[in-house]
Amino acid sequence: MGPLDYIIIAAVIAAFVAAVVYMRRHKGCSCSSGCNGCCESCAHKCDNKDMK
Amino acid sequence: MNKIVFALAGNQNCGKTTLFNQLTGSNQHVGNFPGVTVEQKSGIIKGHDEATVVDLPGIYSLSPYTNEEIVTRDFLVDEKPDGIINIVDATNIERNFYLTMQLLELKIPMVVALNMMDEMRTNGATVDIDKLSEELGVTVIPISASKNEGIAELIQAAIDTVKTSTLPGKVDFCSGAVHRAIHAVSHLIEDHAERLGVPSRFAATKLLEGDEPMQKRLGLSKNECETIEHSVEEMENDVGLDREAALADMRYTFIEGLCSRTVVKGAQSKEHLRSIKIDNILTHKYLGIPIFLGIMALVFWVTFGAVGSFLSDLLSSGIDALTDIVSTALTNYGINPVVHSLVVDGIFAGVGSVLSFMPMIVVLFFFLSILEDTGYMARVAFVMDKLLRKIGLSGKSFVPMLIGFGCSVPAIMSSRTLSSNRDRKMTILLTPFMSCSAKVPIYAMFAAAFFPKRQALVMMGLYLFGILTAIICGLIFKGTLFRGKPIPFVMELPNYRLPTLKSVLLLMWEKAKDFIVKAFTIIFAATVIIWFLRTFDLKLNVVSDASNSILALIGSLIAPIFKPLGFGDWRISTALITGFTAKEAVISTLAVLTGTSLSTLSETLGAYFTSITAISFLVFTLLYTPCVAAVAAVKRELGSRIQSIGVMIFQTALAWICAFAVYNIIKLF
Repeated sequence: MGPLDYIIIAAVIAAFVAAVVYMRRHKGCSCSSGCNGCCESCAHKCDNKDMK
Repeated sequence: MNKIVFALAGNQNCGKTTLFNQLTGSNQHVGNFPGVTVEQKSGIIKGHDEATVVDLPGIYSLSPYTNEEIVTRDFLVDEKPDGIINIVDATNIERNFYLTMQLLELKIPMVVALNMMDEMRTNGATVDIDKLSEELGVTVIPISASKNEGIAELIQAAIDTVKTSTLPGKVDFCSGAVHRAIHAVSHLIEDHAERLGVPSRFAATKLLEGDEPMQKRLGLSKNECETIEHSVEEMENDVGLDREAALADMRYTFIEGLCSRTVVKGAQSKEHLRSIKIDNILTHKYLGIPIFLGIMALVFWVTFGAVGSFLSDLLSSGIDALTDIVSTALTNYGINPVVHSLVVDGIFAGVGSVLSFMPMIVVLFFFLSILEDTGYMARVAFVMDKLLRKIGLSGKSFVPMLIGFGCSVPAIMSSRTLSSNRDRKMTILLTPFMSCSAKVPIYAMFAAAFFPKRQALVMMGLYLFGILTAIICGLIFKGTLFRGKPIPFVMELPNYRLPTLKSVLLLMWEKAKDFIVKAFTIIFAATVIIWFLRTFDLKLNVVSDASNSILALIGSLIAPIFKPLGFGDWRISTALITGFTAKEAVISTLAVLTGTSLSTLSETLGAYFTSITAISFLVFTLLYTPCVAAVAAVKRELGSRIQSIGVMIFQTALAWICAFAVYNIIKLF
């Protein structure tokens, strides 16, 4: 295993954690709908003030 | 700095969301379709950080008949906004003022935004704004929300009204018997109304209308209720109308007089005349539904048979080329084979397989957005009412079902606009049968692999199969679980309009953005987990054959369930399970598990499916439990974990039965 192997593994783990955190923060909007109802539900659930 | 909260209230489809977007600079979805706003949204007014505006659902009155009316009334009465911006459609001024009259009774600082003035002027109509303001006792500002005309003046007038605490100058628009009844009841309940923080005049009119929730909230004694009923009886006898009609008549009499003094009507609008002509064809008794099916067939053909598939193939080739470059670079560097597999066979194959379908989704929503923005979808709801009533639903249920073709989550949420609990529950149960956009990649992949010359037909067939299943289930529910009659369906048909480029592009961008976000979050995470489970065994040794992996072990436990449906391979059962997280994950999982590149995935599927088992698989995918986000929405709306689990079990069992039936019936031929 060379340094690039470790860099790739670390990057994938970081991206995986980021994806999981994102999904947890946006539970109501993992639906690719992009519509009002869904964003609104997301804003209420995850307290994302940007979306309110 | 004191915060100012404005409530934005108005009828359905009068341009509320367009005005909200202009006021706040946001990009909420606007539709030429009544009922786009399901719940309240709020935003800060541009250039006035101290002022917030809350966009309330469109309503016609403050009587608690529908959920939208309840949401709006509760907000106005309980939250007590500092001011109301009442948006009025100038082209439908009489009907819109019916709500205005009730808002005035709330005794909250208010301005009236007279919208669509451009359209009114085009028709040759005029409004004496000063006289209208004087007679209504509030400031009236002419605007055109879609053209951003008069918005700055409206904001300034609204803020000034609140800062100077200017209450509506008039609330008493009645005379005769209704006047006497309102005043009698108003004095009687004054103390109760004050305790509740509601103007006594508003509470009195509601009690005269027979508003039970208001009666309960005021906590009236039996004697007081009897006195009110006596006043109502006297009023009904004097006016010769029932209580609700008497109040409506009082309001409309005033509105009629007001408009005769302030509005000069123009000719019937060209848009309206054109709409009537088009409706004679598109909402025709016999031709309406065939025309709708024809239009949808054309949309599917262009999306999946021509433009969309071409663009998807193009993107797919690009992703494949990028995968090759990365793979070669990693190999030349001498990267560890397991890490190479993680990047190429895992992430690139999984995420790439889903991402390549983005053009199809965008093209599909380009057409659906045009159909909605022109006002055609409102007509389809009207045409469908008769059909939906036969299965025990009203045409109003068409709105959630239509949204369900995009995504089940907002569709299930929008069912709350249905006032009948029976209709709402039935709609929640049937909406997931509408094929959501997340299923498009699965359908498209299998249609391309097994029915390359009939892709559009297969897609259309699957959509129709979902609708047919919903119809059959509706008929069964109607006679068993949900006996009773659906609520009557009344909907305003907007004039046909040319869709705005901004609105169409905005929806396409939203779709593309959400798809990309989803591919790099939930699909990425699912792909990494699937890759890990198929690369290692229980002792965490790298396996040379995936059939010795952890995933194969799990998958083979479930696989026998699907054997009678014709697809008993552990890879397929695993893909169906990951589909619970998001339907697109079915494709990314198959790509990772079969270890093929994107362009050869279609051919590789041939090793696991025949055309018959492919149909059975597609039927199962179409009908089985919706994704976890949709199930969570069902739980939220039904307010019951057990019922939401029941919905999951019901749909999965139904999917199994239908796939089994389809598989065995086709095998006979």
